[in-house]
Amino acid sequence: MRKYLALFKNEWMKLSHRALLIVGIVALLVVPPLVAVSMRSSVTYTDNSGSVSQTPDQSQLQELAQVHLDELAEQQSWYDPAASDVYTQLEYKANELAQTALQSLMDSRLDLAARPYIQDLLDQQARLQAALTLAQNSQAQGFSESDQLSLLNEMGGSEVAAEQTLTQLGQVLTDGSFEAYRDYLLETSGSVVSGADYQAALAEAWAMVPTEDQQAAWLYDSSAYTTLRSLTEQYAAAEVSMARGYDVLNGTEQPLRAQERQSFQDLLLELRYELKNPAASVTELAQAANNSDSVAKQLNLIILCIGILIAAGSFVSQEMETGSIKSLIISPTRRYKIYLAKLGALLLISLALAVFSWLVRLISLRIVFGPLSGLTQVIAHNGSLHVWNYWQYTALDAGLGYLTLAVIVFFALAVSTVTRRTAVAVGLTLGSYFGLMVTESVLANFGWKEAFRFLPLMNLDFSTRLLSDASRLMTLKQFGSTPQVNISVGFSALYVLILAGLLLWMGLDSFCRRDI
Amino acid sequence: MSEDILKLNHLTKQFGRRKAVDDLTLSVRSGEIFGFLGPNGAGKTTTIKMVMGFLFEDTGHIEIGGYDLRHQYGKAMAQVGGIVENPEMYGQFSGRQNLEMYARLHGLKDRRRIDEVVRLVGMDKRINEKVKRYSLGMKQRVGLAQALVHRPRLLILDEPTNGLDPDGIHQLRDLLKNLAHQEGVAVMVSSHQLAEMQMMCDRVGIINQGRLLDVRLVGQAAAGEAGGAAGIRPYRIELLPPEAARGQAVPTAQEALAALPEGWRNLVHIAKGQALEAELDPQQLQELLGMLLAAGIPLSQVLYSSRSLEDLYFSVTGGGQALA
Ligand SMILES: Nc1ncnc2c1ncn2[C@@H]1O[C@H](COP(=O)(O)OP(=O)(O)OP(=O)(O)O)[C@@H](O)[C@H]1O
Ligand SMILES: [Mg+2]
Repeated sequence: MRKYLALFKNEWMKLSHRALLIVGIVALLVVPPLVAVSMRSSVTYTDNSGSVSQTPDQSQLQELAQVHLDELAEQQSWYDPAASDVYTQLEYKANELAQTALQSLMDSRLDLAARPYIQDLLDQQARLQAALTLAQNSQAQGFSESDQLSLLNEMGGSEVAAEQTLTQLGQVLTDGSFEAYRDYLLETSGSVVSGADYQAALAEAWAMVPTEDQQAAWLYDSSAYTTLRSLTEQYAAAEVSMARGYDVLNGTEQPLRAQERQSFQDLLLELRYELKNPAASVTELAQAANNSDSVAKQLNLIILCIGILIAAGSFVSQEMETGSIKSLIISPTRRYKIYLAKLGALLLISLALAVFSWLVRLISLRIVFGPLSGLTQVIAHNGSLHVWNYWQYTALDAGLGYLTLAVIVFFALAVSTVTRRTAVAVGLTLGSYFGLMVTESVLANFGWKEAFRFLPLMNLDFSTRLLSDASRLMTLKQFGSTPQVNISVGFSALYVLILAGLLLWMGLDSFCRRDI
Repeated sequence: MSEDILKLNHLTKQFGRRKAVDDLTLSVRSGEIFGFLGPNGAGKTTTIKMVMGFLFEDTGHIEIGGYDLRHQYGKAMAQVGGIVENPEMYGQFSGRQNLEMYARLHGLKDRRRIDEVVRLVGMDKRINEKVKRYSLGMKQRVGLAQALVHRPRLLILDEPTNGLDPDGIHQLRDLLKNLAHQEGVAVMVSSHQLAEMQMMCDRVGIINQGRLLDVRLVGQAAAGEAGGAAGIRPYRIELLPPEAARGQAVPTAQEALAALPEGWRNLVHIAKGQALEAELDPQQLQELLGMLLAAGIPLSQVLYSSRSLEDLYFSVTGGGQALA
């Protein structure tokens, strides 16, 4: 054991002496704050504490409305008022009308003018009005047939339809409440899934959302109601799928398997929680923080993987090439111990780097986005709901992500040992890492599910599968690119264990039994 | 009193179809410097690499300090120190760090021992520099320090004089002699520097094409053996050749013989090329030389005329051939 510690200490020294390590640490250190700062800068509305919890005061309302007004003004400058084509004229006119409407609303009801959904409605209204005006003047303007058709299309088919929508819009705008907007949405927007049961489920989902007087703050947030919309749609789709017994987003009407049912059930649990407690997680700030962290996580993971691949891929071969392996071989240690010491040092340094990366992510998020209360994570698994702090969630996530790194270490060290050539080993490991990524997405596009089950990166992805099982299911389907992954966690665990064992055996065998 | 520290029994190693080492049996005793001689590609490094655990032998056994290398690897290897081919260390670390790392693997914590070996190889001034900045000879020296740091009972050096300056070679020779003769270390040195080996070694083994062809005592040891207790050895005394005499008349070998007293004329013979030969003990040699000089006979050199290592080497290896 003492000897093993001595070996380990030496290997640790060698690793920690590498220039590569410094580069890696700097990269891990720089990426998360940069990403966070750039994402934060796009968020317009937050109160001073960094999160939305209070109704904005008068000056904030003024500012929120003004921001949109300025946007409109800037957009208008893109269009030439003298242009004769129908699109430019429509855009110009609509923009002009929207500005006037917003301006007058700011004068009469500033709190409404500051709400993004109201601003959206004003824009819609202005567009319809512009289309109507242009259509009525089309003779004078000398629009062609196809121009007139486009205008009709813009109006929703006919002038009558346009008038009708305008009346409805007018009513919602006069009311101004979020509930009125919600009802308008439920009535007018075409749904993803047809059927009365879907509409009912959608209404049920909306009914869970706190009313305006219960929780007003998010009404002023530009991402809140779009997020809520997509949450309600997910909810309705899941609910209807459970009721109908097949996946309504899937196209085919294959009966749900038990595992899929469970996934939908878990998803509904998560969605119910999020719909009932939307204030923190649906805001633009929370979304930006979330996005920022997931981008930083991906980037850091890639940096870590590449760094570890290079470090491990050269760890044996470089010693063979420079001949420094001699002093190890001459020492009274069995070769398998040397190999295990190298493996151990690599595993430990990747753990240290993973922890470091996690801390940097959390700290830069905290500094740039403020308290992370909005990032509470809701995870349902097998029927029970867990609500986690963000740091708890990311710690678990980083821990599971470390599994990927560990297997990469096993892999690269084995390749380094078998090939004994740094250039070949590093090329081979990097090549197979990116090759696997590409292969998986190609296979995914062909939808070849059976092969998919046996792909290493898929099986290694414990973090995505365990932590966001249900929502992953949905997003995957919505994008339609990746087939549903029906690999059980047990299968993956076994797969990864066997893979690591095989790689360990390969490396050990080559290191211990070949001449040097 | 001297035991066999290294025993090689019928060792064979084949690379593809080429037998690099072929049924090699030899032993190195404590307290001796064993020279391992042979042309390029003879199998010296291959043999040494098998002893050091780099290569796996095809057949045969290796025993170090009484431990079988394959079955008691740790114990056997703990007795060995050495350099295989060029000394290679971690260039990114200093000489001292390299020594510390190596010592750690031997469970050695004593810093003073490291200082001691560093001084021994004359590297104390630059031991804290990074190894990648060392010259070849400096690496050799640190390599030697590394080989010695854990006080091995068997020291194996593959061409240790490679890259050393004359001073370094001289120091190495003294160091090895001291280690072997005073501390009883078994030293095995491979080389193709015949003169160097003759000065350094007590015994040499000559290897060619993987086979051990001859093992001989050399130097002092050979002298002791050939002359027994009396120390009688053959000498060749060359007279100053006429062309070197700058026109002066020089005595011939006959005249020189005639100048000696009666009793000596039976001991001394005339040899080809203006020389005298005789089997003498050192005492007699002194007397003879004194007499010749007193008689005004100029000498050019006195040689110990046994077959030199070089003769042996070429006759055994069939010198002058291309590589096997
Ligand atoms: N790894 C190897 N693969 C194939 N052949 C090898 C290998 N190592 C050595 N040989 C061959 O084995 C033979 C003995 O080589 P070895 O290095 O032992 O010679 P050596 O006596 O040390 O020579 P030198 O004086 O040049 O160092 C040579 O013919 C060599 O080509
Ligand atoms: Mg050699």
